[in-house]
Amino acid sequence: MKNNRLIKILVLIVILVAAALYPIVVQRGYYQHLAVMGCIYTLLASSLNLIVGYTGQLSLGHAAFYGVGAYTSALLTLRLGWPVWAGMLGAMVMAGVFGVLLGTPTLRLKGSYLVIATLGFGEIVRLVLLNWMSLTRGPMGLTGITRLAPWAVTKAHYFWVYFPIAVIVVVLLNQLVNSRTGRALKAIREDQVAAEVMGINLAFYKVLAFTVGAVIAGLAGSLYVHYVTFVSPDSFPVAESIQILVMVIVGGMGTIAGPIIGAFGIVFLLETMRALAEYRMVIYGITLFVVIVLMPDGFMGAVRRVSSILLQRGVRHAPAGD
Amino acid sequence: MQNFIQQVMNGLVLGSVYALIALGLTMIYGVLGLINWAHGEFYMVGAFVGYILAVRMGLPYFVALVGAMLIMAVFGIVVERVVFLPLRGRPNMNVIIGTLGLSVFLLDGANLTMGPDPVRFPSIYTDQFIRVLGISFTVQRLLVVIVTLVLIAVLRLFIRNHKLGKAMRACSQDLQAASLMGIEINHVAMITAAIAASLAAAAGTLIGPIFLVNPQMSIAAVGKAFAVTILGGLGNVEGAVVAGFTLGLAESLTVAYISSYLKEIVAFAILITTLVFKPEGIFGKHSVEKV
Amino acid sequence: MRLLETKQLTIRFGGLTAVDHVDLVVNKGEIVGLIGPNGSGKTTIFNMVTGIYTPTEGEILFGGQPIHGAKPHVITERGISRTFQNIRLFQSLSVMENVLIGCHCRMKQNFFDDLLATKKFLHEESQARRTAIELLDVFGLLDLQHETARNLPYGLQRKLEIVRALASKPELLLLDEPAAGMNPQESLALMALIRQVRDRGVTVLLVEHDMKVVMGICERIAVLNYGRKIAEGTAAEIQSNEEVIQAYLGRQAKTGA
Repeated sequence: MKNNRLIKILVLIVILVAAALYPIVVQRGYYQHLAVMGCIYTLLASSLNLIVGYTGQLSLGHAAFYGVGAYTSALLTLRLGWPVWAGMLGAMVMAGVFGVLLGTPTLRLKGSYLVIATLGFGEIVRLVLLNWMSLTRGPMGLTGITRLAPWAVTKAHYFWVYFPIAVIVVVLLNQLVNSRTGRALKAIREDQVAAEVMGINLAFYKVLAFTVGAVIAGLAGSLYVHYVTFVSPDSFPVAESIQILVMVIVGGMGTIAGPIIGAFGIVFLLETMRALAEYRMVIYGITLFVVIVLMPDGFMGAVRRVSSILLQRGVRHAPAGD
Repeated sequence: MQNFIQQVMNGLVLGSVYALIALGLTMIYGVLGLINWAHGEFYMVGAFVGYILAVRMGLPYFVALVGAMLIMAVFGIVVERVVFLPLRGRPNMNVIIGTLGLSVFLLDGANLTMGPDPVRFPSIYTDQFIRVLGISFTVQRLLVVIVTLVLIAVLRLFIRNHKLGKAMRACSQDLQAASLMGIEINHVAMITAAIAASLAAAAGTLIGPIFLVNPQMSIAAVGKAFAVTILGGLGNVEGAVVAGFTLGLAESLTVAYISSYLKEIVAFAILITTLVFKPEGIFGKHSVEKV
Repeated sequence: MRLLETKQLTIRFGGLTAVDHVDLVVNKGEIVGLIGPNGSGKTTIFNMVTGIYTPTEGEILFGGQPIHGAKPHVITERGISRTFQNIRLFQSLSVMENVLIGCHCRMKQNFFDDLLATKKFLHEESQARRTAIELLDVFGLLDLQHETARNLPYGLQRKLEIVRALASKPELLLLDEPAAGMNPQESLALMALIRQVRDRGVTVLLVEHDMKVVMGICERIAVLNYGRKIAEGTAAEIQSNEEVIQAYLGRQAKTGA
């Protein structure tokens, strides 16, 4: 046990050092931009994973929390002159409120019904952002949003701030899913009736999962908006929710590493596919289908399967949410 | 009063399209037990097929309409074999990602081949007007409603009386039992997908001449289709028809009497309200999970 | 002392009265059996006692306090736990995790303790682990603690369900057909196990079709037929009761067994 922990800490240190050096080694601004976006998507995918992968509640409304966080932070800093860190906190609180707003009325819903409800919720949020002209300036969006800090000039600076934030959030999530709370969420994913009979308050934990997921997505929205310094409703369509869900599932839901691999993997994959020019999205669509048919448990599921074959043990399937 | 009648007519036109799209979505769910997240794209591709037949190839409008429906029926069968079949019985997650993959493929395939810009799809009926009750509208609008009602009536007859229609109903009750009773599930699945796709094609080809045709039309359509399907009850054919017209009327009356900004929100408001208060749809019965 | 008491307990589903004015008493420290033909309402009573169903009429008292209509998790906290007829383990979780989830309602840390790994978290977690290890050890499952639940053989899955239920430190344990699918040796072991549970101070109410098990361990037996209680008494009394014989024989005659 002790050794195991030591190895984990060592791996973490290696990753941190490699990450710190990344913007120095890779000088091209565009690849640095991808790394920053990878961090933001790591937050989004990991937080959605808490809802979908651990609690088993299908959601296609995650971009709404992202958008609410982005707009809250933008408006607080722009209109009320709040400092950026306060804007971030505000974004997290506001997104959390939206998490409760989505989680509570949809408690009874399951499976396809829940997906469609969350999709509708996401669309309503986007349409309100689009039409509330006096607050959001509608489709024109908000421009000139405060940068992260006066010294944050290059993309490398952003990366050096956002990467540690992503690491902290992932470490906290890792702690959470291995605790009483995390076990309660997993129990709900596995069997709601049995979970309830084991003393787990279904309503509380489902809303909790949505709220914690929303708070993190709100943080991601805030980080995004102080990075690109512009925001419009176009940034948060259903396609964005789908993208985040794809990252979770293709990476491997219900695992900590899966969504991170999914986030960075898809950000960089779409980039390398740029060589395919206009065929890019068409081939991406086919890729998604093939990947999900061949690797139903995502990348992490495939890794587990291969390693269990190598270790000559029975194949274990990763949990599949309903 | 005139305005009201005009809006009701608009609502019926919109409602026809919503009903046709939602019928396919609800049938695929009912029989195959999967939600086709690419259904908006079926409608869009169907509209383009109709456009190619009518405008680029110069076929008469009705020939193009029937042609589009037949071509899309074949398309539906291909999709069932290639995409739905591997996803059958898989967890919800996989079905979502798999059919979303199809959706991305079709949407961007259309962008690639037809271009992202809207194209005009004129038919001879868009230039002819009818005046009734003090309002005037194009023959095309009347055509949308009439053809839709005819298609719904034919579909109803088919489901009620035809052997395959009865098999479809059996499958939507219990796929496994239907299979044990000797129903060839693969045939039923293919027929269902074929009907669903050709109804979507009819919707696209009917509405194309009134609005413009472009790849993005699929995105708005899918949200509406979900709202209609949920309101009518997932898997409920009659419900989808009633709910389709309900949403169409609700939208056009909202535009007329409240605000055009709210038009797009109506569908989602109906969607959420139904799901929260009556998730089984307006006609659905409540079911208790057995422990 | 009365631990569980139902008064005129009734539930209707549409037109069907599944449980019809049933009075039932379970005293502290007893092992009570609930028997009856299929569909006679046994599991439905369990579902009402554990809060999954809300009774249409009647009362359920636990330790003298009404619990009918309360949420399942509240009832578990009060001290009632159960197993299921068709095993409902958390299949893709480990044996240890299953038992720890059983400990859920006895752990006192809150969300922030869990998130930040506070002292309280560490304390509660180690306490729960100790409970789990002790229970797994007593029931001979300790070696399998890291195994995934779905990989366990059927008999051990049933055992694990009982351990998981005990982890919530119940006063009353409801067992729904614990001997289903067991061979005679396994049933014997099960009976010893149930006695062992009772000796730990847990009162047991069980639904069971295996008459050897029921007659062998139950101090008192209640018989249901068509949702009504038709008899109650010791094993000997039940075996000689005319109506009970009728209910069972009549059914057997009809099914042509």
